[in-house]
Amino acid sequence: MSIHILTSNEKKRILESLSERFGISEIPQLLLRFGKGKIRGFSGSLSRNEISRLVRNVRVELIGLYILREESDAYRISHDGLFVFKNAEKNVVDIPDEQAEKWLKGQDIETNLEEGWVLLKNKNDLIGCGKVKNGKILNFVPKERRVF
Amino acid sequence: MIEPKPLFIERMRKLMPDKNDFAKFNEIIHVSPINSIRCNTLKISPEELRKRLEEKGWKIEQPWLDCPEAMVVTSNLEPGELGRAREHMTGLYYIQELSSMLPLLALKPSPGEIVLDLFAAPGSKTTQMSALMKNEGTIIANDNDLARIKVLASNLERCGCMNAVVTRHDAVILCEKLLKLGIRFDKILLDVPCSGEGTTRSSPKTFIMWNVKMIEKLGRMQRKFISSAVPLLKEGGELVYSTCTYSPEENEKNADFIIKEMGLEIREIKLPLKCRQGITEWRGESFSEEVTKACRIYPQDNNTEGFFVSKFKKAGK
Repeated sequence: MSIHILTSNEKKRILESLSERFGISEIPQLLLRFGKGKIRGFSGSLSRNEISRLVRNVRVELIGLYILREESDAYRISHDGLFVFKNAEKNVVDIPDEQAEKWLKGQDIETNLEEGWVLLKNKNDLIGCGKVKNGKILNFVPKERRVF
Repeated sequence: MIEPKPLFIERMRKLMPDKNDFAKFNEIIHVSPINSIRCNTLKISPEELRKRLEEKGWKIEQPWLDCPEAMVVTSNLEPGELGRAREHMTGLYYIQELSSMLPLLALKPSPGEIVLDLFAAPGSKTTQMSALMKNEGTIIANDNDLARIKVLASNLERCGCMNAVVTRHDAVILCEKLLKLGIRFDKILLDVPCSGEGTTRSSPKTFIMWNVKMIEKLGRMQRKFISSAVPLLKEGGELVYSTCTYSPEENEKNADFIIKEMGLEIREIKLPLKCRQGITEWRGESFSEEVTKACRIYPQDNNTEGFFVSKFKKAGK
């Protein structure tokens, strides 16, 4: 698997996109791209050089947490990465328990919101990042995280 | 009910010469373990989690004053309810046996340290480590099996662990590679593959697989892991050696090996439950008096599974 440590310019572009859509003002972690489009955040103490050296010499399967996915039109926040962005301020939609239950089961939910990416909040929990399209919020909860 | 083999019983009687004590042991090993969970402090505080779970109607106890993350769910739950709950799926808690939390309570990793978890899957202790380190510092979490690594990765993701590097190697080979790279650790957890005698409450099939030759073989293998890992410790660094088994061949014999052959100093450990000290003699073999500082955890003492925990320090600093 190819692992690329994002440069400060690449990270800046991601932050600009997240800031514009969700009002996210910082990503303190080191960002790494794994394979096609999966971006992981590493909060550990290893430097870029130390990580590169490790990856060259040891079979590294993963580093840090999968937090973002490069979609064609935006950066989607992954289900497990939501807690990293709990200070998001824009396009955060509060949904009632009934809809939250549907969402966590992996179902799309009806909406009259404008098209685009939104974060879903239920009570105090960020529970999802979805895409509003054709009157629905499209669900991205991975199968292994669905609540039945 | 799966019955243990006669030789297992004979060995356990030797470890527990008191008849009443053995009777209590022999009774509890056939009883399913209690439902215990660990609050994932990377995502929620123990107070908040307890409140949330109680609002669902669950009865929660926190058995250890100094470790409020450890919780016991005392209400009757449906089968699988603990694992299906939203709080579990979103990583607010980890289902973990109380005794399995002990190695990390002994190791006490701190934010900023570099820690090696040589046998990390399925991740109960790695996620606990990450929480204790507040996602700071670095964990090298290794396992040799891809299927087990997938489970480890899933648990690390669910719990929001961001300071781990997951590697896939045979433990001995990884240690050689890290040694060559000059990477040294503040702390090492050697929670080694073992015969699992302490897990029979949750996994009674261990009784079927159990045999004494396997124990001897595992003991030799564990000493190989120890010999490979110890050189990776920094001066003044600490190592916890733990198993979920009772056999002295995998416990005190290896603690004795760490003291005498590896030159580490064994340390006293304070754990929040009843522990018995390590033994100094087993089947004609004597061990250093120092191994009494190791902790044996028996199921009848605390209503947990069985465990063995020992802690060592490398000279310096």
